[in-house]
Amino acid sequence: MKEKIIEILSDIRPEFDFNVENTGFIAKGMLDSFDIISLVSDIEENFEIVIEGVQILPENFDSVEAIVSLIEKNNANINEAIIQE
Amino acid sequence: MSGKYLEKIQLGIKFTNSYGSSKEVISRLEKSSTLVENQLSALLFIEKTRYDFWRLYFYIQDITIINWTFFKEKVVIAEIIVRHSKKEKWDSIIQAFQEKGRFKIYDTFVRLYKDNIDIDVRGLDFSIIETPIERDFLAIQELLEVNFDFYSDRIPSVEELKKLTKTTFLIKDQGQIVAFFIAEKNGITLTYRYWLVLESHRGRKYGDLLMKRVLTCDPEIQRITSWISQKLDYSIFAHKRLGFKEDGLTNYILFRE
Repeated sequence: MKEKIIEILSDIRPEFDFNVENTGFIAKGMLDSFDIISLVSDIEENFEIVIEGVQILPENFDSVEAIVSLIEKNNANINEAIIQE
Repeated sequence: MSGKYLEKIQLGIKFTNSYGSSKEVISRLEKSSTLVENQLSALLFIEKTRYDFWRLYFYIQDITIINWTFFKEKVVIAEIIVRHSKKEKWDSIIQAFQEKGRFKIYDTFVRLYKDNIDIDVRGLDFSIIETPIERDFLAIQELLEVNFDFYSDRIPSVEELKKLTKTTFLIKDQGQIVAFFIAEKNGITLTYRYWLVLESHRGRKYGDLLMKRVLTCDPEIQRITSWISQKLDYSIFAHKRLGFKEDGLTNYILFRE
């Protein structure tokens, strides 16, 4: 999953090496609130999840780990919904 | 109000224009008047600006539940930022704002960016360029109010301008500001905010000089972004000639009066 996330990030910001710089994206100015809009679209498409509007907060996209955690949380929600059905 | 309030409104919310950190979003909610609060479908809130209009933020799952009469006679601006690939998803929301809410598309801005910052400053004389002092901020704000658009250009307060001191450069003539360039630096990214040369002083390459001064103000800068109105096609063209590219984001400024 991490490799895919890094690939998506590199697609949005090709000038950065996200294998090396993998934390503090917002503070370092590598991504801003608006880049997150692009990131959300790509993550939704690649991981077949839906990221809720209120999850679109910089802290959820500030590092590769934070993005992994967000995807896992949304995957868990999808699985729970399938089980309930 | 706390982060738990955000969690309360998050169920199934698919559309928002309320970006920022949790702290910023909560602060925005605290300063605002709530128009619609339905935990399952929508939360709309408006923030009074310093001018004669309100700014609308929303979290929406189901736009059909919105009672648009809430807006009454208020002048309201709603900004919606959409990525090109997601435009279809947002079309129904923008259409509902237009048809049910009586909003009009006031302007649209596209974002451009540039990665390779290679500025040749040889032979340039930056000595006429100044950094702002205390009394300049009010003068800058007055110039912004006269030369920029209240509804679409997010004119900053004096306090907000002061936070941009390190990336504000100006040229004066007989003690009066005749040109300025204001940018905002966030880490390695520099965003162009306001760039003005008074008509009386155009043709002297002040704009170009100021831009180059801003770009050399910090060696850390690796990337520039700039939002430009689609009405200013000549400006978009000029940016592209300088190596800027569109990054796929469009900001729709919706206006209701």
